[in-house]
Amino acid sequence: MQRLFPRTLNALVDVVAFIEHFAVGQLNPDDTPTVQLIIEEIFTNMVRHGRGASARVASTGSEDLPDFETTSPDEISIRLDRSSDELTIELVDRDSEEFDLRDRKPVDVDAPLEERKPGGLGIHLVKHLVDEIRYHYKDNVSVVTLIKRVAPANA
Amino acid sequence: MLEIDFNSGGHIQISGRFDASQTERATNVFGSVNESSTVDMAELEYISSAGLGILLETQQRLISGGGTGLKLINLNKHVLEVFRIAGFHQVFEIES
Repeated sequence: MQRLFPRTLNALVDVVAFIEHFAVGQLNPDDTPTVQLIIEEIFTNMVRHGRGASARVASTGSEDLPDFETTSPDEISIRLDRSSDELTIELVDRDSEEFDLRDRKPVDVDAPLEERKPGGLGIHLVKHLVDEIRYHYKDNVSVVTLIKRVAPANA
Repeated sequence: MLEIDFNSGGHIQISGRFDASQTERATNVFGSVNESSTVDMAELEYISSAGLGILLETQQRLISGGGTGLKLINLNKHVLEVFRIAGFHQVFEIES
């Protein structure tokens, strides 16, 4: 199941509706908010750090990239696919700088309050909530693929 | 949608979804909190890093001002797990 969303935080309500629609019969209710969180964090990151139309460089795509149907740099594609006990989440941003979240420095969650910073918390959460992260970048196109083991939908 | 209600005696109730689409409004609301308060999260369905960041900044401001900060109560399973992963149980008083 795949859908395109405009590059704006206002699209989050539609992203949530998309996930809830997918979740029917496919996700255990206990997993749904976690999946929403994972997708929100990556989607928000793409919205905030995408280069935007003004900085756009024509993207030609590549045969090396997975098959996806994003047609506009102003849109972000989200794809969800469940097979047995795994959920595959793929987000595609066709107008991005290279940003591999696997390279981000870990957040020190043991730091005292006065030293804590909100930055990086989203990626920290995602890293803890998924089982595998893949990243592919070429020709301004970022493909983030997240694999998460999930409970049976009707457990 | 996120709802934030202030009751007397430093009691705040938040309900709904505390996500990145609520950042501007929630920043303004929590920016007006100037006393140590109890935040009842019984009706809070969902929180992401955007909500965590606003709560963290509020906590830092209240504690540095000499108060006891925010006490968070009645967190659901999802919200509690997010707080735990973020290490917030070490910087907030949490009563679930």
